[in-house]
Amino acid sequence: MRWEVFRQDKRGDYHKHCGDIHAPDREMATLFAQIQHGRRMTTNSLWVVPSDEVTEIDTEDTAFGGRTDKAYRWATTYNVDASFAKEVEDSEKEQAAVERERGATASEGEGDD
Amino acid sequence: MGDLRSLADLSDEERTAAEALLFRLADDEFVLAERYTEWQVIAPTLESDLALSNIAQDELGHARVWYDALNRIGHTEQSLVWERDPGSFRHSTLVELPFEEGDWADAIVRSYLYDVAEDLRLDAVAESGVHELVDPIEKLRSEEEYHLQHAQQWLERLCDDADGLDHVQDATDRLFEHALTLWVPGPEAAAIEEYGLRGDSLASMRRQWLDTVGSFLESLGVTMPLDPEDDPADHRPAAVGRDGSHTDHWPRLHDDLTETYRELDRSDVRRLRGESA
Amino acid sequence: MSGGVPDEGVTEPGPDEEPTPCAYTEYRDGDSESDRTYPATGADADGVEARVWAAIRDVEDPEMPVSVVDLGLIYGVTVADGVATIEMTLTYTGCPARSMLTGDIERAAEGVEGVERADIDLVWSPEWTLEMVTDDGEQALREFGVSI
Repeated sequence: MRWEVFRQDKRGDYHKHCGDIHAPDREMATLFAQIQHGRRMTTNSLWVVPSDEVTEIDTEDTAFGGRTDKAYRWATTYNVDASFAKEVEDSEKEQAAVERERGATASEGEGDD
Repeated sequence: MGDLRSLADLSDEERTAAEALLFRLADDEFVLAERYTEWQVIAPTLESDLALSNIAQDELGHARVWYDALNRIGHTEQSLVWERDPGSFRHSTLVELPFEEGDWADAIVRSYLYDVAEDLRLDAVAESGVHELVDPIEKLRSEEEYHLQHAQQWLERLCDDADGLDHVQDATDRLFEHALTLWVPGPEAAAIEEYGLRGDSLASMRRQWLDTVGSFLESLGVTMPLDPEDDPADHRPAAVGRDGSHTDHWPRLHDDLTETYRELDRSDVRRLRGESA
Repeated sequence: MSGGVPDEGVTEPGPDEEPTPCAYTEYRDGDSESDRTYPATGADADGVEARVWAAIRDVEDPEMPVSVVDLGLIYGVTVADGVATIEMTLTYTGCPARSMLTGDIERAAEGVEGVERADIDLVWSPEWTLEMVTDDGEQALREFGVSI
C-alpha cells in the first residue's frame, strides 16, 4: 500500500506533504514515516494517510477561483505609497500580479458564476 | 544515582574489568553495523533499506562511543580496529555470521534477538557507577527506539505467511545458539561482577532474554530451539566470540574491513582535510 | 490539596509559615547536574575562557550556517595552565561530521592567546535537544530555511 506523509514542523503550523511510503499496513507505515521524516528534522507531528484516501482535484477538473474577473475586490487603483508597511506593499504586489494573470485567462472562460 | 567515578579514578583491577566490558560492548556494535550495511540496496523494500541503513549507522555511532571510552584508557584507533589482532575481538558470534544469501528473515531474526539483549544490557551497564559507561546510555537508548520496533513488526508480518514463517524458523534454528553467546561470560566476567559494573548478572539477563524472545516467537508460531528446562550452557557453538574464539567467517570479515587500510599501507588514520588521528 | 480539615495528628503549616521539605522527596546538596543551565553560552566567562568561547562561536555546523555555540552543542569551557577543556556533545552518535567538528573546535580554541593546547571532552548527557538551540540559533536556522 502507498501512504502519504505530512509533516508539521511545530505546533500550530500546517502539515506539509513531505513524501510517500510503501508499507503493508498502518503500523509499519507509521514506523517508516518516523524513520524517514521524523528523525533528522524538526517534527512536531506526522500524518500518515493511505494514498487512496487522498482525493485530488486539479485544474483539469475545475477552474479554481471562478471564471469571472474579481479584480474589483482589490483596491489596486488607489495611489498610495505603501512603503510605510511592508506587508501592505507585498500584498499589493501580489494582488496586482494575480490580477494580471486573471486578466490573461479571463478571456478563456467567461461564464456565469 | 550516586556520584560517578571516571575510568581514570578506578583501581587498576577495576579498570581492567571495565576495559573488558567496553570491548564486549564496542565490538558487538561495530561488527553488527558492518554486517547490516551489506543489505544496502538489496533490502526487500526501499523503506526497510533506509531503516536498516539508519540502524547500521546508529550501531556504528554506538560502537564509536564505546571505543571513545577505550581511547581514554590508552587505546588508539589503530589498536582498536585497524591494526588489532582479529583474535582479540570480543563480539558475540551472532554478529559476525554472514547472512544466508537473500534471506531477509535472517537479518530480522538477528536484529530482534540482538536488540532485546541490548535493551537488557544497557539497563545493567547504567548501574555501573562509571562515568564513561553511564554518560551515553540515555542517548543510546533514544537512538535504539526504532530498532526493536522494526524487527518486531517485520517478524509479525513474516510469520503471518507460511513461507515467511518457514524462513523465520530456519533463521531462528540457525542463529539461536550464536545468540546465546551474547550471554557467555568473558575472561573478566568475575571481576566485572565483583566491581558492580553490570547491575544484573549475565545469567539473570539471559533468563529474562529467553523469557521475552521465547514468548514472542512462540506467539508467532515459531518453535524455540530450546526447551525451558534446557541448560543454555549446553547449547553453545564451538566458538563463543567472548573469549576471542570466532567462527571461520570472522577473519574474512575483518580482512574486508581493514583491506583499504592495509592496501594503502597506512600507519595512521587519515581524516578529512589531512588531520591525523 | 483543598483547605479541608487536616488529618489527626498532622499539623498543616499556616499560609505565612516557612515551607517544609516534602517527606517523599530526596534532596541532594552540591553541584548537581540541574544547577547547570543549557544552552551554555559563556556569557559570564571572562579572560581566556571568554576568548575561547568567542573563538568557538565562529565554528559552524558543516551543513548549516549556525554556530555550534548557538546550536547548544558546547556544554562548558574551562582553561587551566594553558590547557583549554571543552565539554561538548553532538546531536547524533553516528554523526559523520564528528571529527571535522571536534577538529575545528580544537583548532579554534588553540588559536586563542593563552591556550597552548585544547582538549575536547565529548559527553552524551544531558542529551542534546532542540530546546538547547539559542534564540540566535533559531533565527539563523529559520533564515536558512529550517523552521524550529
